[in-house]
Amino acid sequence: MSSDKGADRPAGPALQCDRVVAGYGDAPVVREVSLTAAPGRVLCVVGPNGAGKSTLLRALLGLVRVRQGTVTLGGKDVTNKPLEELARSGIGYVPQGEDVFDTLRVTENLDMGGFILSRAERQARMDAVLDIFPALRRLTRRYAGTLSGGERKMVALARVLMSDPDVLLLDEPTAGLAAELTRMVLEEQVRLLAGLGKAVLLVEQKAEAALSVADDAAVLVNGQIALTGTGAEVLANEDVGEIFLGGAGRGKGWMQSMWAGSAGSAGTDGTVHSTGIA
Amino acid sequence: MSIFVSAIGFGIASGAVIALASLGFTLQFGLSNTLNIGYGGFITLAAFTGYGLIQLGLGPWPTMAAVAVITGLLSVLYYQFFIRRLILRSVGLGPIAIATAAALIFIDYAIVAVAGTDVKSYGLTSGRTFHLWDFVLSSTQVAIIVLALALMLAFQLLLRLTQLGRALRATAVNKTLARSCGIRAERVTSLAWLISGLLCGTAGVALAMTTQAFDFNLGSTFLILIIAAAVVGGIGEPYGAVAGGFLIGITTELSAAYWSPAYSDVVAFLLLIVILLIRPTGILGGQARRRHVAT
Amino acid sequence: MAGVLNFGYIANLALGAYFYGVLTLGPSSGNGGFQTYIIGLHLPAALAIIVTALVGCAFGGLVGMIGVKRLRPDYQAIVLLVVAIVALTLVEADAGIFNGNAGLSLLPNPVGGTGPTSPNGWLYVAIVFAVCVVGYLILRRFSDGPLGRSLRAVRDDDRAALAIGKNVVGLRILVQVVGGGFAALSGALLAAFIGAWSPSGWQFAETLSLLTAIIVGGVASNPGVVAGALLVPVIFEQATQYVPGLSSRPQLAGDVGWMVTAVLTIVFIWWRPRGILPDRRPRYGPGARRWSRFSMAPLGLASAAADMRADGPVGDPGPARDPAVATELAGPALTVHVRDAPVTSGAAARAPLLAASGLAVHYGGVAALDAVSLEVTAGTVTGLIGPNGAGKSTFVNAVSGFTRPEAGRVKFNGTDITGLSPHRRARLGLVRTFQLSRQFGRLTAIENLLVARARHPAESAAGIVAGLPYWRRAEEENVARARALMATFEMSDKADEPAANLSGGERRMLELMRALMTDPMMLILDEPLAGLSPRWSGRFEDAVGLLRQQGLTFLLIEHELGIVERLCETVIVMARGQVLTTGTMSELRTQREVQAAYVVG
Repeated sequence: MSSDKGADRPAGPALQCDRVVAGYGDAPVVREVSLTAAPGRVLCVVGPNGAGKSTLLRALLGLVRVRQGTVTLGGKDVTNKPLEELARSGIGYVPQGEDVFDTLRVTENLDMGGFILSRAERQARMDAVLDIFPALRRLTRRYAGTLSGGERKMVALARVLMSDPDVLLLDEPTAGLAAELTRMVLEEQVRLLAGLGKAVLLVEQKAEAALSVADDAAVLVNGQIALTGTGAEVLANEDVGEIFLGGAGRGKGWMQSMWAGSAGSAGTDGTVHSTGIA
Repeated sequence: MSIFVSAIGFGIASGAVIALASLGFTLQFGLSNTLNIGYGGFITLAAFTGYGLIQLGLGPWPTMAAVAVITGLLSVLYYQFFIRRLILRSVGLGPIAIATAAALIFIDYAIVAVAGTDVKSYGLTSGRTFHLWDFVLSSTQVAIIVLALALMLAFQLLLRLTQLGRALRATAVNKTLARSCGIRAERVTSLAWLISGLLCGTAGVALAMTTQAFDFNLGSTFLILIIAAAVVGGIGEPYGAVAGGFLIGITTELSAAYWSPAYSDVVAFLLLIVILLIRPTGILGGQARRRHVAT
Repeated sequence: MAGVLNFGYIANLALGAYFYGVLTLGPSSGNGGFQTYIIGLHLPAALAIIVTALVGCAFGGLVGMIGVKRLRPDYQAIVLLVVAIVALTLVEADAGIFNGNAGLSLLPNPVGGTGPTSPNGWLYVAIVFAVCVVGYLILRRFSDGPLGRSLRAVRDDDRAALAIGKNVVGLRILVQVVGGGFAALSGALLAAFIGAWSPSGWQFAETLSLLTAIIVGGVASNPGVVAGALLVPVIFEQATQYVPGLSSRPQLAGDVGWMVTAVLTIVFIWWRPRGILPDRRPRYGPGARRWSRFSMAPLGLASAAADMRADGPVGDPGPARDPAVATELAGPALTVHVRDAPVTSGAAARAPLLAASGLAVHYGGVAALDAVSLEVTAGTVTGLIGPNGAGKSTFVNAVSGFTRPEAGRVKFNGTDITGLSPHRRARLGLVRTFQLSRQFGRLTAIENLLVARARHPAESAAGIVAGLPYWRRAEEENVARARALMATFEMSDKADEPAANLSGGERRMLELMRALMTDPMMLILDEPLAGLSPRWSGRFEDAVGLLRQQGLTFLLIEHELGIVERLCETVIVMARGQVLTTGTMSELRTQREVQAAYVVG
């Protein structure tokens, strides 16, 4: 069934957000962000801590209210739709941290991933997914809460693949993973998802590793897109390291844009800090 | 020896009812994170509805089934129009618990207004008694034990083997993640309240059958044992509630047999306090195990 | 009567409500006086009532000790409920002393006679009223003023209270002791009035009506509770008047009354959870009539702060500071009372103030801290940076006592503080802030500062007994200092605003100010600039710079590396639970290793 599904839509729909403004309190955390996650490609959003990456993702998922702008899935408006309905229209989500059902066995986690499928579909899909992650076969009876970090992430990705979603949103899938595992998750697992024809939106703190597997990339600073390009372009941009470390050169310009953020205008060449007390 | 064995027998009988009720209680806590004190009111309501139906000439077992369904439906309404709204208003867990305590009082006194304060009895003939080794139990007690065990088994099978049951567990452990799988968490939660209502209704009638005589305080008194069982087992844990129910039931009966019936509840509560001091999350409470903390 | 039952602020609403609600079930409390009757000691009733109140205090303290110290907060309410029921059941079961289920009757009345119909009934009511007034006044000792402020702080956010050195457990137990005493007192008075007492007299419903009184009147508000206590019975009576067919079913009136009480509770929780007379916080800001001796203008701060120092109110004033430090910009408002302030020059000053060695913390098999050792030199600002998940916050928690490390030791100012609780560390001068700023939301902004004052005399036993005159001076100094701080940070206009209404930036500043009010030796700031606008972070930066010059030591966890570079002499880089390297920011910036840790993660 799932293979039919793929055949029906060779290209698959893209997830687009257009000038999205979202946030929790009085000040929006995400401001006028426009992005497109295209089928078969990995779109990587990087940025320093607190740039609004997670909030953007949660806004796309209907978990944080989108105040302005639209989110569309294959051209259909899905702005502020409840999460479960988004899931049913083909959006898969792997949250950061609590990404598996700890008190459920691995197979049960997969069953939940395929909740919207029929029983027969689910069985077929489970075989297919276990083929993608053969390492999970020997873990099927384990409770997900007892797994190691890398195994958990595999379960989380396998779970989200169960429903064969068209679009995948991954929130820092490598958080807390060691370097080798990070490489494994990004280079093997995330690439694999795009290889399956899915539109992957990857939000990452570990910019270098993430950008090296990304087709498209966007750098989010202070809730706004500061730079876009292909993954390779952004990676090759010498300033990226410095942007993250807040160094001199072009990075300083970025720094200023961060500073100026809430004031709404470009910074006054880094003198912000000398604002006097009293 | 035979005192011991027969006390164990009675303990299993009362433990079965406690376990049934505390299973429903813990389910509500697990899914909605609410300490529903109004549960005691539903127990009383079930017992009195059963009384009414028996007065109308319905047999005890059909009565139990009918009451279970009625209580289940009321429980869903109670969740939809009361608990869920309170949660949405984000008034806090403490005030919600107090509001449910108010619901308990409301239900209890509504019952008094209709049925009065006098002691009621289903007036069931105790039937023949079973002697098995040193166990001496009435047929009603045996039937209730069997029924309770069957229901608990069915509930476990539901949780373990059906997609719906897994969705229930999934929603309890992580609502957002469950929703991201396409599970309609709100419906699943309503289902949990339906099931807990069914268990509550069954337990209420079973309790009324076994206690012989009861009044409007039945539920609020029994609620203490229910909470004790749920907490001893680790609140929110289905197995824990069952284990806690039997533990409380047997302890109560043993202390009644060897010491004094008056102290039986005290012993049960001392047990609760001791267990909480040793294992603050209850016997099967696994909060630490399931929590995966990201730095 | 119920007015007396309220001791004001419920450190934890469910816990407190259950506890004294259930305590007023009476038998355990009310019977201290009646034991004497049965045993035949025949104590004078007044004495018996006092004894009862003391027994209630002891019982409350005991329960508080067991319940509050050992258990998770969500279980505390249950345990307190259970303990009360155990007590009730024991009383019911014990025929020897308490006469079991049948209860006690023919209790002596302090003014002679028994029962409500006795000729001296009205006299007794007058006495009870007088006791209520006295009780109310005593309660205000606890619920108003600095002590009440601390208790409310514990209620609003116990972790933040720990972080500023409040003995949260102690304060909670105090609440139980006082609450237990008053509950017992009222139980005794009631029983003496009725002249009889049986355990069945107080059940769930009666407990609820007390809760209703509190909720309707206003949680944590003494006048509110008195109003609630007066109103609820009236409503009860009124409701019962309109029930038809009362003549045939007299019983019905009471039932409907209870139902109305229940509905009333729900209605209030639903629409007006804070009651009709909500807890009103005193005003200390500009325009406040009380405490107005001190000017609010930043210019006037100098004299106020100078007064304050001349009086030497808190701790050791420390060695004389370099006068150049007190720049005209900051004024003395930003002067901190650095205790045993290390000399900022010379070899001695280079000794580490904070030294962690081999700290290890694991979360579910993942090493959040893997044998971390680091030192912070006195009088410096040390930066701690690293990518997400590097273990920085875990380190802060381990050092400040909020997480118990599995291995390793923490030394502060030469003392081993590894096993100390957070509030003791704060009292030693090691104070932290939180990554997500925490505040006491229902206190005003300035109260958030006032509450942080270390060793407030009003929180001592002497302060409770002696009252306002004993601590007025300290409080005036406290208020002056808090006002000066708020003026310095240009937040005077927000002083009387509840902290919950402040913006993110204001909350951050409030947290820093609150930490300063504790007279710290060292501040650990966990991402203080997250979400701050440039205006605020500029102020913040200047403040840290000035405070450092005065000898305050900082450990600054921050992602905004520009600020780290400007402020920190030494920067420590953490990654994956380990210390990667140490150096100045400009040194680190060139290190490929550090860049890699940040970008690769």
